[in-house]
This record gives sequence, C-alpha cells and structure tokens, in this order.
Amino acid sequence: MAFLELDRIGKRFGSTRVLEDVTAGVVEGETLVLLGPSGSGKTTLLRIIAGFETPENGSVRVGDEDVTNLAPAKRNFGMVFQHYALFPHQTVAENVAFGLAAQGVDRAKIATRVEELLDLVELGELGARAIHEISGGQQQRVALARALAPGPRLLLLDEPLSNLDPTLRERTRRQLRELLGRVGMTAVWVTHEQQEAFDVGDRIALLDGGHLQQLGTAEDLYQRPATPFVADFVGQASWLPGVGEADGSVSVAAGVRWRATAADELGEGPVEVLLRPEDCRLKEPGEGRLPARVTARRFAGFATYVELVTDDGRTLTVAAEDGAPEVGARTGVEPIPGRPSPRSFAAAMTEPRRCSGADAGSPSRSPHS
Amino acid sequence: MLGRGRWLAVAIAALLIWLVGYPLLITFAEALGLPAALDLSAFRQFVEREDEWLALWHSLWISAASVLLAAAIGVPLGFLFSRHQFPGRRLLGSLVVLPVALPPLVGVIAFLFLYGESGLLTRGVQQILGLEQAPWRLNGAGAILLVHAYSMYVFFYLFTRAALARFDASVLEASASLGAGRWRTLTRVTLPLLLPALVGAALLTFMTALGSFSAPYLYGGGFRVLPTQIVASKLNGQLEMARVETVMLATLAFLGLWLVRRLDRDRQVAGGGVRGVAPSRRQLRGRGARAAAGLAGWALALFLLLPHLTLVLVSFVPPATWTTQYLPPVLDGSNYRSLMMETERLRPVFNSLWMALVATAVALVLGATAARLALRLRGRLGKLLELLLAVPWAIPGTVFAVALALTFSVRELWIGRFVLVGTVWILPLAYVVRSLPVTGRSALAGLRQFDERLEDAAQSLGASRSYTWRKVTLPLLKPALLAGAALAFITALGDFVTSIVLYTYDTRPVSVEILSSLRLQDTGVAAVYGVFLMVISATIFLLWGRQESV
Repeated sequence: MAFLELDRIGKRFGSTRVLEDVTAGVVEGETLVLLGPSGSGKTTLLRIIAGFETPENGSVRVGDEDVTNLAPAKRNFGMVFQHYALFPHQTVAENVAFGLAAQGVDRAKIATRVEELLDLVELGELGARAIHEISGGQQQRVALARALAPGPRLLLLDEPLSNLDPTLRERTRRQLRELLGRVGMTAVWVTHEQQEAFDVGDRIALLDGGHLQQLGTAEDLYQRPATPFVADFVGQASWLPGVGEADGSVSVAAGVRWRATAADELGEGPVEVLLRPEDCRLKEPGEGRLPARVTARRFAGFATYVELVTDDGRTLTVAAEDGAPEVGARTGVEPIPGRPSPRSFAAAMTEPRRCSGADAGSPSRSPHS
Repeated sequence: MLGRGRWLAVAIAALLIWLVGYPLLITFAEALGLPAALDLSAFRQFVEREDEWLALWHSLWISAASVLLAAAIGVPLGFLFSRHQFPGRRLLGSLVVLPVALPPLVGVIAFLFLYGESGLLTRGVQQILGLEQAPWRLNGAGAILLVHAYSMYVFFYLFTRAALARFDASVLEASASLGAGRWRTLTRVTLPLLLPALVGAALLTFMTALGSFSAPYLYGGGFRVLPTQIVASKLNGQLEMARVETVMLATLAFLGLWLVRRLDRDRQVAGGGVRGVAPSRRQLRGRGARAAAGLAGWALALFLLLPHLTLVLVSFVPPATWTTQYLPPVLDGSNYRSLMMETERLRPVFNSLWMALVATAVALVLGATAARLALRLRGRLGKLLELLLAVPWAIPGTVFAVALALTFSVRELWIGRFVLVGTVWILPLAYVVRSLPVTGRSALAGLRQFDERLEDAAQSLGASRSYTWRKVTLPLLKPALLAGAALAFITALGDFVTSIVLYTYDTRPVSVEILSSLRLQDTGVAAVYGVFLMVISATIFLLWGRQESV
C-alpha cells in the first residue's frame, strides 16, 4: 500500500478545470515526480497535497489518515518553494530553526538540530548570514534544510531548481537526489523538465490539461508511452501515418511493412506510428525501407541527427551513428529490430493533437517551448 | 474563511463609509435643501455674492501660482541633488524634505517671527536702512504664496528625484551620440520623459494649496480663499452658506482626485517599460565649482532652516523684553518654565499627545485592515475600500471639519447621527479620518511588496496562524506600518485645520493654543508650543517616517 494516496482528485478555479480525477500513490522512500507543461495542473496538485488548496472532490490520504481538509500546519509535510520563500528578516540559522521554534521545541534541541542540518547541506559556517548575503544555490540549500528541520514525513518540492543557472542546476540536482536517498525521504517533486524528471524520479506522473497521462518509471514513459502526448513530451518523436495489418505489423508506405509494438489493442485500420531517432538506421533505398530524402544534418557528438522528408511530405529524424548521407541524398529508413519503436497508436487518439508533418518530427521541439 | 473575510470587509467598508463618505453626503444633501425639498436658494446666493466668487477665484489662482513657484524651486533642486555630487549632499537631502513633515501652522508662525512686521529679518532691514516703519508687511496673497512655495516645493523635489532615479542613462547617451547638445537633450529628451512625474507633482501641489488653511488664515486678512471663507461663514453662523462653500471646495477636490487616479492608472499602463541604469552622479570638477555648489547648498539649508531657528530663538525671549532692538536683549528659559509650571498651559500639550496617539492607533488598525481586505478581495468591494482610503487625502481638512461638525451635531440615531460636536471624541474622530489615507496608503504599499508565499512557507513548517502573523507577517510589514503611523501621528499632532472648527476649550490642542497665545501677544509661549511641535514632528519623521515621504 502506498504511503500517500491521491484518490480521484478534482479541482477547478472558477470555470476552468485544472485537475480531473487524478489518482496516484507515493511509495515510502521514493521520489515521485509530477511532470508536465505549464498549466498541466502539477503545481495545483502539489498545493493540494501540501494543504494550501482544497480539492473539490477526491481525497488525500496518508496511510489510514484522511488529510484532505487538514490545515497545512498540521500535516507535517516539508516544502521547498519555487522561489524558496525564505524569511528575509531572519538569518540562515533562524530560517532553519523556524519550524521547530513554531512547534515550541526547546532552544538547546533547536540549536543542535539546526547545526546538524546546516552540516547536512554543507552550509555549516553560514548560519549567522542574512538571506540576501548568500548565493542562489546556497539559498536553495537553506530552503531544503528549513523544510527538513522539523522532520517531516513527506517532502514536497516545487520546481526546486528553476531559479538556478543551468550549470549549477545539474550539480544541485545530483546532490539533492543523493541527499534525499541518504535521509530516506519520501518526496513529491514538481518540474516541467523531462531531463530533471528522469534524473531524480523513481517514478514519474506525467500530467497534461489536468489529466494524469501516465504514471511509471522513466523507462516506462520513454519506451512504452501510453499516449502520443507522453511520447512527444518525453524524448524526440517522429510520426508517420500508417495502416495496421491483420498480422500486427504496420505499413507506413506502399510496400513498406514494419513490425511495431502497440500502445493499444489495435485492429486493422489507420494508425499513427511513433519512431524514435535512435531506433532506426539509414540504408540504401530498398525492400522494407521507407524512402526519404535528406534535408539537414546536425552533428551531436555520439551521432549525427539526419532530418528527412518522405515522398508524401512527412518529416522524420534519424540518429545515424556512423556515416550520415549528404544533404539531398536519397536514402531508406529501417527500424532496428528489438527496439521499443516503431510503436503504433490508434489514429483517433492523435486526432486532437495531430502533429502536422513539419512540427512533429522536429527534434528541436522542446516540451516547454 | 472567505465568508468571514467578506463580512469583515463589509463591516469595515460600512465603518469607513460612515466616517468618510457619510458626512460629505449629508453636507451635499443639506446644501441642496434635502431631505425636505430641493432648494437651490443657497447656491443662488453664492452665485450672486461677489465675495464668494472672489474667494473661489483666489483659491484657484493662489493654487496655480503655488504650483509654478513650487516647481521653480523643486525641479532644479531635484536635478541638483540627483545629478551632482558635492560635500554635505546627504545631510542636506534630509533637511530639504523636512518642510513637508512639519505642521503647516509651525511654518506659518516661524515665518511670522522671521519675516513678519516685527520679525527678525524685517527689523534688521529696517535698522540697516534706517527706516521709520517696517520695510514690508507680511500679509495678503504674497505672504501666502511665500509660505506655500516654501513648503510645497518638496513635492516637485521628490517627484523629480524619483523620476530621475528611474531614468535610463542610455537614453541620454543615445541623444548625445546622435549629436544633440546638452540643451537639446534636456528639452527634447529629459523634460518630456519627466513630464508625467511633473504633472503628478503639479496636481499634488495644486490640491494641497487648494486645501491650505493656516497661511491664508493667519496672513490673509481681508484676502479670503475658500477654506478661510468657509470657516468664517461657519463662525458667523451662516450655516447655509458654509455648506454651499464646502460643497464647492469638495467638488474641486473630487475633480482633482479623479484626475490623480486617472493619471496613476495611465502611468501604471505606460510604466511597465524597460528599466535601465540611472545616470551616474557627476562629481563637480574643479575646486571652484565644488565650493560654489557646497556654498549654494548650505546657503539653501540656512534659508530653509532660518524660520525654524528664529522660532527657537523667540521661544527663549521672556515676555515684554524685546521691544525695538534688532536682536532680543534678554534670553532665558522663562517661557519654558511657565509652561511647565502652569497646568492650564500644559493641558494643550497633553490633549494633543493623547488625541494624536488614539487617532494614530485607530487609523493604523483601520487603515491596515482595510488595505489588506482591499487587496484580498479585489472586485468592487476592494475598489470601494481603496477609494474610501484615498478620499480624505484629497478632501481639504476644512471640508471634513465642517462636514463632521454639521453631521455630528444632530441626534438622529436611526440614520447614524450622534451628537459628538462639543464632546471629547469629535477631535480624535476627525484626526482618524485625516490620518486614514496616510496609514492606509503605507499599509497598501507594504502589503503589495509582501510575498504571501512566506505565509504558506511558515504554515508548511507547522506554524499556527497567530505565530505566522507574529513572526513573519508583522515583522516584514513593520517598516511600512511604522512609517504610516509616524506620518499619521505628525498629522494629528500638528492639526490646525480641523481643530479650529471642532475644538472645545477642554480639548483644545496645541495648534489652537498657539493661535490664542499669539492673540494675547504671548509670542514667547506661542514659540515654545511651536518648538514642541517642530521637535517632535521632525524627530518622528526622521526616525520612522521617511520610508514614504510623498
């Protein structure tokens, strides 16, 4: 049984539905990432867990205890805020001590605990500093120490790295993950960055438009995306129109039939086929290969991304590990056997977000653009 | 939770309406002869009487002239202090804004002691030139304008400095790189960019001058402006006429308030632009230039401080010792002693202190609560609360005094009218109304800067609401609230405008006592009272009030 259970959570602001029937659980000791584009409802969900918002329907439970309507102050959840929300009129140490002092813990105990935590986040000697006297990275660690000080049973992190510059972000991410593991903290971590989610999440809940799209490990989301949205949001995706055949294969062009995994129970009929750049290779045009022409090449170190356009005008991207053809050359695309893609989705599912040829396959597409 | 907040908001709004809106409404209605019957005869009388027209005309042109004079002093001063570095700049910078913090009446009597017919400077000039009579008389429009210019330039000074601080230096560099000389840059770039701030300062000055009472009352003589005309009508028992005059003045003030708010809105829309780096301060080059600037600065400071120094000097002159000499022949502390020994003379001091304290406390709580609700609720109720906080700022004190006097001298409990006039409570009540915009505005400013996520953070750490309020919200709002309270206290302590209309003998405040001491030729004692107001106001202002000095 999960440590924290979210059961059919629904929330609306005015007439906009921000969350609809979200059900998820957090297992003791794991970090669950709430991932999604802005407006997906992830922050609202976190605020509902924290108690700053009350859901219209559904419940939040910790074990047997229903905390849906419990005041934030009584939940014993720690929270690291997006802009840290450090108290500007207090020193670093006073910030860390705040939670314990609010609960009336005696001074000697507070002092020991503050010292312990400042050591934990490697800020031992900065306790007497004012908040504005320390760097952004240090502020982030103070926010973490402050949240951990009262010994919360769950830690909530709202985009904890978004205020750091890119180089610092990656290092802090690793440190933070390592630290959470060391203290055995159960955590819910909100982010809009796929890479961050993959790095820190034991499991990831991908939200879009207030709906839970998929809950699973990074591998689940990347290799077995449940919806085209997941496939698009997590990693690069090219899309080809196809037709499902009786034997389970898909035909993507006249005379080109590929074996494909399937996101749904698909019968015969039109499908959209997902192709990851690293799951296929380029050969001379021929049997079972999708003919295409090279439009651009981008060298990326371990491989060269080759952008192609098919005869019917679809674009796709292939990561060529050795010997990419010249721009303008004709080539044939062939899936590498045993890879997760090609993966077929019922065509109807992709309808609302039918990615126009130009857009869908473009590897430069970032989920948060 | 929201339900409780809304009820509190409705209650506070009702209280504010009763305090701020209701007396004005009653005055307007009664001026029109309501509720009995619509009767415009009082207005007809106003239109037919020449002295009324004259007072209205005087009010308008004095205010306009005050704007010009204040701008002529304040804008160059703002440039000087923003753009140039010279010895003593910081200290002078604090002194320069002081006139706005001192009670107007103190300035008026200080001017009287310096430039008045038997003032220090006047005697000096008379002596030097060997004249039979004083070389000038401090009365009429000129005297009023002198005092106005002296205190109101601060608005232009502060607005200019604020606008220049927001100025993007690259704009000036761009102008220079396009070949424009300094004069061209000033007239084509700097001044147009400064215009919104200058218009703002002009409106503020105009409205302050429109409501100014102390200077016209003491120097005006036969030269009446609307505020003094109103008080005269009221004292002569011409209540109908007083009502109509009040309505006229209030209408002008509302017009001004409407303009100010419109301007603020436009500025908020236009103001979201790019923020650059302010031009750096130019260190004046050459010893000569620096010495000249320093000298000019200190001469200016002396000029600004001279009236108040004179006030201090006069407070040490024993009664009936300074007759025809240029300088007072005897100086001692007898005025101070007599004030300390005689309870009747000490009484106004206590009165002013306790009434100002009570009014400040009430205005602080009411203003802060209303401000918080106004921001929380937004919507129409929020807007109404904000407007109610702003109204007493725009409405001249005289208007409020007369409105309160007319509204609360009748006992009609079922429509919320009590007899408060003649009781201890009418003055503190009037002070509360006058202080509300000050405490409300600074609370609004403080709350707008306050990050509500800090309260979330405190609660997520297990802090109760009261603990959060005590340890997070209050400490962070304290500077803003303190500044508001300081200015409110200064306003109430030195109030003359409303006091002269509403005081009773037992609750007479210091300002009223200054006036009666002057009438009794007790100049030394009047000066002591003035010094008392000046010292307390200046101290409080310099300690806590400067956060929000516009």
